[in-house]
Amino acid sequence: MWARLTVTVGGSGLGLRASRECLLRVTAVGCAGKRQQDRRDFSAEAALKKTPLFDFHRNHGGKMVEFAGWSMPVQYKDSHIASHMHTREHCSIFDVSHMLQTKIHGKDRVKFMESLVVADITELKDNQISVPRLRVVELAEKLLSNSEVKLAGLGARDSLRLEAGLCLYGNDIDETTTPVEASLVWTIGKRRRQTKDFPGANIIVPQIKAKTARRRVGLVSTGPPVRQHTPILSPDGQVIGEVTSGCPSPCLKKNIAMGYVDAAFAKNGAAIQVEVRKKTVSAIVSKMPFVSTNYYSG
Amino acid sequence: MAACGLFRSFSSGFSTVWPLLTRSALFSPLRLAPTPYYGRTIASSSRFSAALKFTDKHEWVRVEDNGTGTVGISNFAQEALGDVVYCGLPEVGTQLAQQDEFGALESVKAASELYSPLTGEVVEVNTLLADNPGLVNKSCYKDGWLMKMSIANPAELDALMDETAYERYIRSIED
Repeated sequence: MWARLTVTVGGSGLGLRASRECLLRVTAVGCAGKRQQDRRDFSAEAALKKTPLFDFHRNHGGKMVEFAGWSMPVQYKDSHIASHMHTREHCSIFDVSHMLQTKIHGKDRVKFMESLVVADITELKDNQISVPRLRVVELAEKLLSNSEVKLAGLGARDSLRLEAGLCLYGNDIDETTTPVEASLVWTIGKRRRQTKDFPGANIIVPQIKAKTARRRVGLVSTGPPVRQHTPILSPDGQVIGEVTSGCPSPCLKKNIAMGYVDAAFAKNGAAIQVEVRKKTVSAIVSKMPFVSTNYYSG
Repeated sequence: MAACGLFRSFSSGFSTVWPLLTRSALFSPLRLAPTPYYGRTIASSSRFSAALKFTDKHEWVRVEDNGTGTVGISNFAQEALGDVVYCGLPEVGTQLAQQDEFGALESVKAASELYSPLTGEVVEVNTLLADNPGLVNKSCYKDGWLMKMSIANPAELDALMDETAYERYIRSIED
């Protein structure tokens, strides 16, 4: 079996010396999962799929948890906050081997992909490195030998993506939200807006000009952290929406959250309230990303 | 020639609900003890825990000379929760029945509800935690105490675990 390791470098010069926010995502795709299980081990953990980096994680102090049917590291020896800050200031490796990588062949491959998504596939650049599964540990160790590089788990990944204002599918976006409601119009390719040949185009394209009833916005507050399903209230206490993701921001030392609100309140700087543990707390509608990104873009 | 299907944006990366970071599951890292691969016991802090009694939800209570009970969370609990960044504590005067929720400790990744080990009234809360919630991590058996309460029903203490029983309990849920 030819498995693949994908390394995505989000910083300059392979990312290792970029000073801020270079996320290095290490992926090994096509690992065997159930086929590789140790059949002598019948504990619940054995039912989980393992990436080719499973032993590597364990050897580096990874605290393994169940994630979407996989055994994945939620954090390593460093605290969640230390790992988060290291990633912002230096560089971290995430194992994203549990994510699918699909290679599509054939003359209609672009047309096929565009029948599924809103992006302009022809514009995509390939920026990933693939290596054989059997050498993924060797590569990860090599990268890790640089003192700027540490491992980061699911915990840091979640707080980092929230600071970056990025959506978690299933929480912040799902089958019931449109890209316009979710403030993700930038994901819809310009050509695709003209050709209107993606699923839902007859609803989504008109929404780009007309307003939607609700919009995904960022929220900033102090006091008790604001989590998923927290009700969002107008200044006079009416429910105007719900939080879809939220956590205390390690960089900002404030609570950040995102959620959907009635369009009338979807303005940066708008004062609203959230209801945390039956108490109302003031919050401000804020632009995202909460922490400015510093992506390497060529 | 092949076009790679790059379903690799950060947003689509988490293609399913994150079980550990949902309220239902991770709200109880302390309750579920999700496969920890570290297993420090409370032994290192035993000089503070000579008279500690523990609940199965990882709170401890120590009876003070004046008859009130000081309440905190165990070392196992603070390790499972991670860096505490916010302590939600009750108001002095709050009446609590045993196992009533009396507040919550929040880390970046999760919140964990606190449950009263005893029946009684809140007589004091640790005000230092407002500016320094990390005390719960640094000193969970001493400076990181959470609240003090009157003890309405001393017999409830007998049903709680002593240190030895609690250590055995931790080992049983870690296995």
